[in-house]
Amino acid sequence: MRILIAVVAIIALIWLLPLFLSVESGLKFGLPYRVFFSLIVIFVGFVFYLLRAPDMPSPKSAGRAVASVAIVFVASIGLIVLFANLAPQFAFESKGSAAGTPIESGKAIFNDPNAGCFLCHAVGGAGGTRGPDLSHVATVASKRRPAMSAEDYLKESLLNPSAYVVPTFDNIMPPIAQRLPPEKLNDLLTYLMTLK
Amino acid sequence: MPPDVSLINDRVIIWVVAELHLLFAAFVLGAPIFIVVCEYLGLRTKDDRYERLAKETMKIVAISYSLTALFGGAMTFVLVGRYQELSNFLFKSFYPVFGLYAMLLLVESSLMYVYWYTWDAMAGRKAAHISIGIALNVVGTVVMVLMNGVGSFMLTPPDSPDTASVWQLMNNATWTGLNLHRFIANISFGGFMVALFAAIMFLTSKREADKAFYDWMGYIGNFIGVAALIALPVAGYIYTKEIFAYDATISTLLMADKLAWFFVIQGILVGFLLLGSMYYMWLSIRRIAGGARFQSYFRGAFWAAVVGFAIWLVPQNFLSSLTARPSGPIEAVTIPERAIFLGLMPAKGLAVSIMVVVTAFVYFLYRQAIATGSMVWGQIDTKAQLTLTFLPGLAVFTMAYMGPIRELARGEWHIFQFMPDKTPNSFLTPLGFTASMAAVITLIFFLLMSAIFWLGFKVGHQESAR
Repeated sequence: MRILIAVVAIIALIWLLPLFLSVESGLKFGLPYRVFFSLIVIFVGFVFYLLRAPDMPSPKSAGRAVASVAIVFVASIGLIVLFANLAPQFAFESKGSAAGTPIESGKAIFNDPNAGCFLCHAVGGAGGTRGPDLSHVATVASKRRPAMSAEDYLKESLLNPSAYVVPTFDNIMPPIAQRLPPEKLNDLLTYLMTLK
Repeated sequence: MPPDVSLINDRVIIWVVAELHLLFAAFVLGAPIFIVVCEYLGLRTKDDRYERLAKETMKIVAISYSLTALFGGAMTFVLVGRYQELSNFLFKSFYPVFGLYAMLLLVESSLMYVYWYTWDAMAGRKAAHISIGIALNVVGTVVMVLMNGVGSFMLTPPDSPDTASVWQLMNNATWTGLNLHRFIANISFGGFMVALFAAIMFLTSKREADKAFYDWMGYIGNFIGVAALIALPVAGYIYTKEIFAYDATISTLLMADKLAWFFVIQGILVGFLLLGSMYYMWLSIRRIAGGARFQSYFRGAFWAAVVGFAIWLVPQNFLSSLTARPSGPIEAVTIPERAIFLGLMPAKGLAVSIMVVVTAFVYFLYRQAIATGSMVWGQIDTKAQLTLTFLPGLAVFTMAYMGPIRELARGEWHIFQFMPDKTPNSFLTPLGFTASMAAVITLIFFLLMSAIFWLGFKVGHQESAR
């Protein structure tokens, strides 16, 4: 009973406390976190209930013994599978042909962790900030090096990033694009050229 | 499954067959280590129970060998038939390795049969028999190390794999880490599987003497399983560090992007394994004379463990990938600013360390209690035996779940950054589908194991009773 009261009290705290906190406090957890923490509290309560639980009698027959083992299996693994299905899911995604058109393919490369572009560069507000924002890179690139076209400049930046480093940013970009097959490099370039 | 792909496809078939091969291989590699240790302890302590435990377990291993080979063969057929570009490259590049592998498999099988069929004949020459068992384990480990070279190569190949020497291909960036992780995991798995057989036999036995023996057998199985389990996170850390050093983009995919939530589930699984093993020891200590004085320490250990567990699980966000955007405000699904530290690696590392240290502490206390009090075998809470069935179920599920994560880590490559995977069913599988597949594979494995168990234990017992 004490465990049940403690569990209910902590869960109430988890749900009521955010009502009195502002986002600026830096401690206001959103709804999914509150559900998640509540589940953890229920689990912890269950653990301490098990520590106090009275002895369980031996199964009266072999059939009942096997059934009790099966219940433990299905309940434990079933709960984990259920939780895995309720957790955030990305959609099924083809690995081999991420996209049909070169632009879609280039966008997929940009957002692929194996290429890693988005980790440092943002497009439309999404992405990292260690490198320049690329939301309008096709326009900006045409003005960056007077003697070069936007396309040539972007190609140089991908294959030899140290050739020109945008002021206020560090020279940290690795030549990741060198590892890309030529057709993928072209797709990436095509995508970047659409960001006007 | 994508709407245009049938549920039974090449990808799913190779997935199921490869995982079942790995699970049986892990059992036939892990259990013999356990068996030889038990046989040696029997010789040293003159306690007949060790001898009986070793022999009964070996019966199961002998039958499992054929299923390991069967699934290994099936996996080769699927690879050669449906993944020709990859299998051509692997068989050609690793030709000497596969040749040695085939030869050693023959030696391993021969040693296994000699070890099993000479058990009674060599009763008077135990040291010689144990030597055969040790040779079996050494050859088995070399076989595993060879195939780990091929498996780890696919994720972390050296530069220019088509011109590299066989040794450069084998000695790739994660070969050591994978070897270490699998070797320790196999021992733990072997121990927990023995505990499973013991628990089922305990629950279905009527005679007090049998109950006492199987209670002791479960205790030994758990003892070995937990000892190895405590070391496993360290091996896992070394392995992931090697992956990180090889290419940080793989780690980003694993820890911060699409597979980040896969690791929340993995945290739950490992946490359940550690807490489950602690719970068995808690129940077991209650039947030791004088064991009650250790219980307050146990309770404190459980508190520390659940706090570590909770911190370990706190996610950075509730997004399916780094680029996913929620329909509502992003603040609602990301960790608040002042609590960010809970979602970062230092906090996670500390939390895992707490759980491992606490489990080791409980394990030490348990050993102390046994050393200073007397154990009454056969009189234990049924919950303890059910816990011994829960642990191997979870261990198998964890293994079946970790396999695809290693495969998904390669992204769109068969061989990372070298051979792209252009097969029609090459898709990244979401978390729910991956976990469901792991559950199906776990179910198939235990159904097959039940058949082996029935043959080895029940039929074997009826034979000996006659």
